[in-house]
Amino acid sequence: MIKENELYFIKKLCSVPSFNGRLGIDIINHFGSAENLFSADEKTLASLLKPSMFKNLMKADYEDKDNHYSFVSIYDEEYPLILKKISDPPLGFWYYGKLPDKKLPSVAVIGARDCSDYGAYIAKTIGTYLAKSGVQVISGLARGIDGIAQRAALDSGGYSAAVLGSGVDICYPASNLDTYEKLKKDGCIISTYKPGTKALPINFPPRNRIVSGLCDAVIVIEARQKSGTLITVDMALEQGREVFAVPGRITDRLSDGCNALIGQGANVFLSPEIFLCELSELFEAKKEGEYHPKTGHFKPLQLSEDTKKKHRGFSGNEENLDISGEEKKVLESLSLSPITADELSLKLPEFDYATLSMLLMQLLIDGHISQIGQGSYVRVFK
Amino acid sequence: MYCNITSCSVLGVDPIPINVEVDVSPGLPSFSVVGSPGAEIKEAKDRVFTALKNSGLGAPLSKITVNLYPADLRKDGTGLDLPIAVGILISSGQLKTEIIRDTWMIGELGLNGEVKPVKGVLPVVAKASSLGVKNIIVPAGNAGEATLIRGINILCATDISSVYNYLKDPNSAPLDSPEYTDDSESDDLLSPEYDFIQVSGQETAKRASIISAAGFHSMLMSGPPGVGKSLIAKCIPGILPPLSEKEKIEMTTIMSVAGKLSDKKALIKSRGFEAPHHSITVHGLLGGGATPKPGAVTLAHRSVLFLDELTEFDRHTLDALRQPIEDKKVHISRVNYQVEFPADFLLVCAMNPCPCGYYPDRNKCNCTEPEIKRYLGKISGPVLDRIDLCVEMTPIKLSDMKAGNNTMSSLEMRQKVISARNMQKKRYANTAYRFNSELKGSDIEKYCHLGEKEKALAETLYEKLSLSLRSYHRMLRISRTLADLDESEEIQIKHLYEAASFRPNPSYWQKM
Repeated sequence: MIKENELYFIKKLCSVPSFNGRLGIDIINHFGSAENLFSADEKTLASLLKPSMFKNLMKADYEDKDNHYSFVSIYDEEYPLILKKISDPPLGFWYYGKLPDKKLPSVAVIGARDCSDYGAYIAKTIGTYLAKSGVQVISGLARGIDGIAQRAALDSGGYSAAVLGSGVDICYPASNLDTYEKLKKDGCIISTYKPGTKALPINFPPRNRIVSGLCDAVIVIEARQKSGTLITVDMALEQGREVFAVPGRITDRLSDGCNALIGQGANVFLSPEIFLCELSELFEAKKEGEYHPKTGHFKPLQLSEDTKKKHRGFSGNEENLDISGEEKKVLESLSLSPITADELSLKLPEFDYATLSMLLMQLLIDGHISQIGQGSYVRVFK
Repeated sequence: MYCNITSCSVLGVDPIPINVEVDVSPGLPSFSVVGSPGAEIKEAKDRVFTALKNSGLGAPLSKITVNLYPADLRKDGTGLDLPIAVGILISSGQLKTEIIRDTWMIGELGLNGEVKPVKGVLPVVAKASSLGVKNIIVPAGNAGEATLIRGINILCATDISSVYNYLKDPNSAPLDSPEYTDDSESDDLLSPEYDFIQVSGQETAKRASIISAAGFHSMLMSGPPGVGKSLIAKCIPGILPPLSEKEKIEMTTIMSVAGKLSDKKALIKSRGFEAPHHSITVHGLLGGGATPKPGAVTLAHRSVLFLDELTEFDRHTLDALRQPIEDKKVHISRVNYQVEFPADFLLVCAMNPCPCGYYPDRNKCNCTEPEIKRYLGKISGPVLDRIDLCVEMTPIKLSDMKAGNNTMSSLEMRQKVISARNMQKKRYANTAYRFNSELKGSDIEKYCHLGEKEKALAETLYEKLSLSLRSYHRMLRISRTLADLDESEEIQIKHLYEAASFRPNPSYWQKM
């Protein structure tokens, strides 16, 4: 148990981003405690640190506002064990809600901010599936894949934790405000930046190491060739996490990053069922006893070889649709890539324009398809 | 000596008769023009003096006063040169004539005495004719438009001395008095310059164009660069129905005021296409100036107003369009008077779906959601609300272009438009309405009558598509036009569905 006084100085040290990591831990070890560090004379510090670091440290200023958030340092018992083991663990972090359960597996679901409808659908499905199987979904609350997966996990009654690039009390992006509020209540919001910090671009790469550090495996859903998501993947690999990439069509630029990862030897994400089997194997092999699936609520499907075969592909909801034959024809011509009525009429020359637009509207109001942009349509899988 | 000659000036598109009073009295030589003259009229004294001198007619070295009645109305333009010159000739005693009692005159003078064409001759001649004036002297260059008006003796002047000779003795030196010759019978309408047959694919946009032309519904096309948005817009005037005689004169009057009439083919017989650049100002679009001049919306009267790159227009400029769209005219107020320009145009707009132009094709488009949101935000809700038909266009593959070219020609499309217009004409015979797009309030329910099944569907669409009341009414008006295109008295299920497919997609326009 840390003394109240020492805790304040740890927080003060954590409020300087460059010290909230390996450097901070090392320097505390050197002085014996954070309190000693701050009472040490400037000359000693200046001789120990780089000039820029010294300057940052001198500027350190922290005041605890009573804002219902909590703080945990690496010296605390609650500090996630899995995070402690990475090469550059944060000295401490601020959080809302409850920290991830050590007994349950955590999986990071990450991907492009401006994802396609395919990506959005996969993110939603994976988020839901993981939550229902008792897996904790970790991500960065960004627009697109991150937010969609976290929202889906929360909506199906699961647990999710978001690691922010801003202070815990600042919701970035603002468009995910309702997910942020829900995470505060049912999940967790984590940040290594002191409360009140704005979401600066330089904050994001360091936070990505926390996202991958908190989880056992990383699923990448959509990423372009040059994408911030791939920074997280690099860190995950450094930390020894398993990386799963959702394959995409080679013509889709948004899948280039994932396909390249597969080319480099990443695991292929084929379906949630198969992923869960692989995740549980990973558990038993790697984290003996400590994270054993049988001790928690984690109940992955134990799939037989037959079922595995059946689940080889991703299953949609084609069956049992209560629609007319004509509607079905139109629906089958639609996919998750947007298509306009004009392009559709080339695929289905048997329908005239008026009939086709009627069928599309019927499918739209029954919720089988949705409209993207001004006049493009995609299929909706429920 | 004093004399009084009637001429006419144009305010907006309305002709205002002007009494040009000229007095030449003994005194120190001076020339003053009073009665709120504009800059061009103040300059008239130099033109008039030199023209008289160079035509061999003397300009008196006396005190000359010119008054323009009504004196409180600001007058602009150069058409008063000729009456001022004639007034000086009469007041200085060089010319004695009785003809000016029932003769109006208008024209600009060159320094050599030539009478040059001026703007706005058509409305002036029409006014003179309606007031029962016997003769009107107009510049020979304006003969084409002046002769469109019957019941008045048109006299064409080429120079000031011919006018002088005519007034002195009309029988021995008559002025040329041409007759209207209708050379061609609406020939330019039969083979429009841009024909829909040139457009491959793009069925949705073509369908929207025909609905737009039939019911005068405004339309917005969005699509990547080079997809054919401008071409389709240029094709639309060719499928609009022919102009009535009254509409032809209206359009010719506007072009006359704007000075855009060609000498030879004065009467405008086909609908125009006005495409202002997106850097246009509010005044350029709606009209304005110290003495108000017509803007692009007025030049597009009874024609197509095409706004390309809609999102690049200044937001204020676009917002200013709301009033003319509603009222079909533009009001411009000045301290002493108000001007009204007609502006009954068919609004056709085009834009890219996002800053880079390729959304929703995520392979090409890297725009982020906030970027697209900001981009769409340039078009305010009220403006978008006034657009009836929204269409998305995508590039067509070369292979598809060759395969299915069963496109209707503009001529065939026009036949459908005309029959749909005839149905509207019959339906709205005793009302102020002309087109389905104009229907308002309770008349929508009255004229867009729905059967039981159709009513149930309309309600479902209203709920499921979460339409606003305004967009619900828009859907009804469009389905009325669709029924008219099918020559059906009753709106059918398919009409409602199709009409709904042209609504602005709320998830794109709001949530994005």
